[in-house]
Amino acid sequence: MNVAEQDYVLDALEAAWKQDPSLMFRHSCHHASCGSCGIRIQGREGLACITPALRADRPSVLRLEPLHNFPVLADLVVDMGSLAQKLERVKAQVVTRSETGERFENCIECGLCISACPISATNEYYLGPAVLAAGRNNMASPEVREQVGSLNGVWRCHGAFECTEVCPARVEPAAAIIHLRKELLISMINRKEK
Amino acid sequence: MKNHHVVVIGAGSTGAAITHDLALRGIQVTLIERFGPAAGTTGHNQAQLHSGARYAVTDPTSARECIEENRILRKLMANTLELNDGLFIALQEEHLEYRKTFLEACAQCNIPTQEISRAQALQMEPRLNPDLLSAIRIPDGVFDPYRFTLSFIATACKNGATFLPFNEVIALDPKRGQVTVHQHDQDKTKIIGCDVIVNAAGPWAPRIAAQAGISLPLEPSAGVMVTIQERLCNMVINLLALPGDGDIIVPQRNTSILGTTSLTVEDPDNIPIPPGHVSRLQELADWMMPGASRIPVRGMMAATRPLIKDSTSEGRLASRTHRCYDHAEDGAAGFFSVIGGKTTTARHMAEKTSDIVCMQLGINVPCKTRTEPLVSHRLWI
Repeated sequence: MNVAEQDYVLDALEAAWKQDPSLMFRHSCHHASCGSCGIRIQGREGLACITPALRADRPSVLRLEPLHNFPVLADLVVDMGSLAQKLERVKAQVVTRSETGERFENCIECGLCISACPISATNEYYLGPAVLAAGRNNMASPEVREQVGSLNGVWRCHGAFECTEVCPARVEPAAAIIHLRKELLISMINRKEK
Repeated sequence: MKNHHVVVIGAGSTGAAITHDLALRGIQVTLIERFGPAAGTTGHNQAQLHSGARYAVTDPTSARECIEENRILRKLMANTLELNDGLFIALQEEHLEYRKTFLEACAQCNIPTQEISRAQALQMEPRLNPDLLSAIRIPDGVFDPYRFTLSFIATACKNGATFLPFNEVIALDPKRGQVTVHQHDQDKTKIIGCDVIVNAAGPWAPRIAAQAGISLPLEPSAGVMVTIQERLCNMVINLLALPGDGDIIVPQRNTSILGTTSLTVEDPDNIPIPPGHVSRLQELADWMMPGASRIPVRGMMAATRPLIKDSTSEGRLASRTHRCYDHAEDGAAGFFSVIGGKTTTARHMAEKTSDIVCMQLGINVPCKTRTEPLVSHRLWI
């Protein structure tokens, strides 16, 4: 189909949808704030609303697929329930408060990091990058600390860094996991020394 | 007691809030949506939890609704709102002349204001234009439109409502109490029986009403917004003048949303984004916060305001309040359409609409949404 030079993949999807209204995909904010339009474009995770449809280094036939590591409902729509539940388990805040004011957390819960994570591909119990990054704020809570420090928490990560690579929101989950491991190790060593 | 069933069409902020309201009153309700939550106007609005100050002079009804809902929502969804207040800034003499009218109008509408000196304003928001003359602080806030909508849906579902995304209405028969949907996820057609149908489809409401042979006086007016890759401010920045183009900057995580403009559209599924609108927004943002136009653009979007067509006012001066139409007058008793409004007043629109629905059903249960806190948005799944 014809796309304009400045069109995004989401615009192309909408054009396709006008020809076939049964095409299923998620979209809401159109400016990478809601995180609902995450898909795989030419095998790479991205948000359809801010990924240009045309790029010099890409063929003009775009391959679009749903995210990995989530059950597919239909077409490009996946069931994000597992991510939602895990975020609730680590009591992930949506807004944090500090002396400088209130601030929405950077993470837009898009799931791109989970899709890109090779561990999440083989282990559905692994909390995953977004969840561990969110849990970092709540390590004072014993339940959260236990989950984050469990075998399916930070210790499952193999440092692939795919998560930080695809994150559209500057969460840097890979760095968060490394910091968490350091924090947990130090407290384990301190406990042993007592 | 008879088991009533209400179908709500459209999972934007209005439809979601109505579903929540009815579910809290113990009514069985099904929310139908052709896409996912907030895929229409609500999803790409400017994310401003209005204090109402913007409307105090030209649209005091809407202004009063906004400040009241602002206060209520702060308690209902405390953990999904960014509440850093907002500023109305005066950059030239005309703005200072407007100030008195503005302050008086806010006082009339019960909107708290605080006059801020140039020095104080620049300390609060260092990126503001240093030529700024003075500012007024008001209780604006910021929400996340998608999560705002999800919070209502999640709470409604917890209270027994059913949410059917990717179910598109293909036929409506209010007399027989039937809504026919094509279920895109299963590729089949289903007829849903109900006692009342509420059309909350925003700019698509006329299309839904037309399926029942009814025309709705809706005049869609689209507005372009541009999101840039930097968080310029923590407070919502407004220009101290009559509402116009590009006079609001809203922070959203690591970005800033510049808005908005006004263009008439025929088809809400086909809103062009005129490049002139984008550059104009950047120019106007530059005036309020110098350097804004040099920041890379993250995305552009256009949202359609579902304005009520009213011969007495047009365009920017059209009222932002809402109206609920009882189509019994059009021979379709039990079919209602609600249009107009703003996401900030979604709960209020839902209360008024749900009161009317309950009257139709002969149910006497009062609205509970003013005080019932909303659950985590993540529980919608």
